[in-house]
Amino acid sequence: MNWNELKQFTQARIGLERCGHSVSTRSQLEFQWAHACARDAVFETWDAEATEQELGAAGMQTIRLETQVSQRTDYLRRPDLGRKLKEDSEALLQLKQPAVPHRLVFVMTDGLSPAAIRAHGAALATRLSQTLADFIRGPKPLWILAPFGRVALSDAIGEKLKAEMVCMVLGERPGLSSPNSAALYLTYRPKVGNSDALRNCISNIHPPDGLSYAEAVHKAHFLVAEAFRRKYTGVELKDESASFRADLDDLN
Amino acid sequence: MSFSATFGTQTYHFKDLKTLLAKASPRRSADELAGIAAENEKERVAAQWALADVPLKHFLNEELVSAEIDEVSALIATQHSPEAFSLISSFTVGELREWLLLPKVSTPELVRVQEGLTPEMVAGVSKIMRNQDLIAVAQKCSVITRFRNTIGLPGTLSVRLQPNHPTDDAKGIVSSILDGLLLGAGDATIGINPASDHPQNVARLLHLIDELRLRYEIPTQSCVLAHVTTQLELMKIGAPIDLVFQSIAGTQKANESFGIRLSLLDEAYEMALSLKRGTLGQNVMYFETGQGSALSADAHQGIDAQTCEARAYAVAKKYKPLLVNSVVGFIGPEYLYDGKQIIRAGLEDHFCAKLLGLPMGCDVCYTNHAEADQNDMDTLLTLLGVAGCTYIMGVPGADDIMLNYQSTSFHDALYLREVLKLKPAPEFELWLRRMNVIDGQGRVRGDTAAHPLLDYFGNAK
Repeated sequence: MNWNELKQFTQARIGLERCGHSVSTRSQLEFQWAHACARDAVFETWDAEATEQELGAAGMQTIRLETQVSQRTDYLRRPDLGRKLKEDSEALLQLKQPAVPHRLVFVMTDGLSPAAIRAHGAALATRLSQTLADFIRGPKPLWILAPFGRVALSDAIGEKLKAEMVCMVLGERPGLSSPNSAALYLTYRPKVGNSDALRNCISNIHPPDGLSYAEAVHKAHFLVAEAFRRKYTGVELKDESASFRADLDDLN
Repeated sequence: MSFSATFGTQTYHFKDLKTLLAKASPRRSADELAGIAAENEKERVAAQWALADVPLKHFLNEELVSAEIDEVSALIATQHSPEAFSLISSFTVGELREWLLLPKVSTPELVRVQEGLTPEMVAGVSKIMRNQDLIAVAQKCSVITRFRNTIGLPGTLSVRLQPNHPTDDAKGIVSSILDGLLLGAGDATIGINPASDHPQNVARLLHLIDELRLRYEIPTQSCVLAHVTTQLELMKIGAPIDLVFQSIAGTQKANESFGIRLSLLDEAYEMALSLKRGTLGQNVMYFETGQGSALSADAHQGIDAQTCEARAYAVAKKYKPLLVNSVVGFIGPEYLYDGKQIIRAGLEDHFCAKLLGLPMGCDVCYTNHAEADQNDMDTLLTLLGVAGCTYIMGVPGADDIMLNYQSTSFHDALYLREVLKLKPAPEFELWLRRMNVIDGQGRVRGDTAAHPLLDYFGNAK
């Protein structure tokens, strides 16, 4: 086989054209471009107001909140502050508490890739709201939008709203070949101090290269239904929606 | 015991050794996140000043975390040799730095005191050493280990070939392995981080490397970096495990968060030894560490990130590993913010581990949300090369498509070997020559398009 044939098996940067010990100028600049895309994805600004309008127009109820972080550099240094709401945001949430607690609420945050939320946020919200409609109490799904959030922010919000489960959409740490990747985190009985072992994650959502919306929402539906049935999420709840074992057998 | 340093009318107080070490640490975001860092530059230097005056003997009398609740502390106490320590027992931390830098102190002298130094002493002295000190002293250390080849000989630089793939696809992984081999990488180990820790999947990957190794008679060792419990299970059913891998940290609580205790590592070590798969030696373990891991597990016990890291080396040492490496920039900017902090941490980790007698390599790396780029990696790579780093990672094009971070490439390793006149492990170098991968000068050949290794799939069933 030649390098072009081998390159079909992997996205890894193999068979790079060389010059002496190093790589060709073209290879080097391709890498630099990919890194620039990933860097810019981290430092983009998420227009949460625009997303809010989009979700509102699509029939979702929305609340926009703030974490204790107000700029990107603080977000990177202080994950603890991205897990907490600002005082006035907490007060606002308190006011919005329904008489009967929510079963499932949604949270969206830009996380480490505002670019991912710009690209996939609204599309995922629309599909999740439709597919998970059966699990929602009340006429409209509630979406909380909060820039500069960490995964555990979903505990703070879910606990405050006394929600049975929370589903968070967040921008993942950008990879060199995936600057716009989103993830879903599901937590049953959200509670401040929950460890990540108590959540389920669906990662790598970035069509057309990564997981498609349909696949992601399919997995989410399986996990949410199972979580409500078993009354837990986390490492004990395995994603059996995909045919992982069958894939393994194919490889052997 | 409390410590203090006075400058004019201003006196700085530090309530105990743990606080002093944390405040004396060169700045990094992990200690700031933990709330234990110096409040400003003056307090940091005051702490370093006070630390320089602390007698090494004091480190034996003040535990950072009690051995009654922490088995790493207990291990450190057991490992300490009073006899080896007697050669340096009169020193303060500051005097230890000066002694380490003396020209008359070279490899044999450093080996002689190795068992007398505790991780905390080594971490302490590193905090008052400049980057050049860390390089100069590490360069004098020599640690040689063996399995199917010889790692760590003077004048060599080995490479772990890291052919990861997001779905563990067999052909994808083999393609990356072939790329690495044809660029002279793979003598430290061919080591895959599996996307799935499922035993059946890990076994499949182990067989994959083993078949390739046997077919081409490559003098190297394989590793699939699954959890140690998975590897134990697989060893019991006869899977071809060369090196047993595990991530380790510097407190019992942090190790528990990784799902390990020393007793579990003991069991894995004994079983790996019993397989007798090494042909030249029986260094059968491979460990990864990294500053900030204890903090991220909320298990740092008030100890600074760098001291926690050095304590992890006590764990590594117990099992005479073939390879240890710090995954220095992988953890992210809340622990090491930028290139400057990553470079400093990489040099500290290499120095501390080498002084304690470990075969230390480094995953010179960063994530896309850190203030760092490939130029920072070039700098750290070059500095570590000068310091005598045992091995680095070789990832196709420096881009790990499974773990989503940037490390060093096969080409980066070629650069370092070229500019510093370093060679692969000798057995592996002979193989590269026999396979016509390198030429008479030891340089990788330019055109690999027609190399027989590329027929691996063609010749396979």
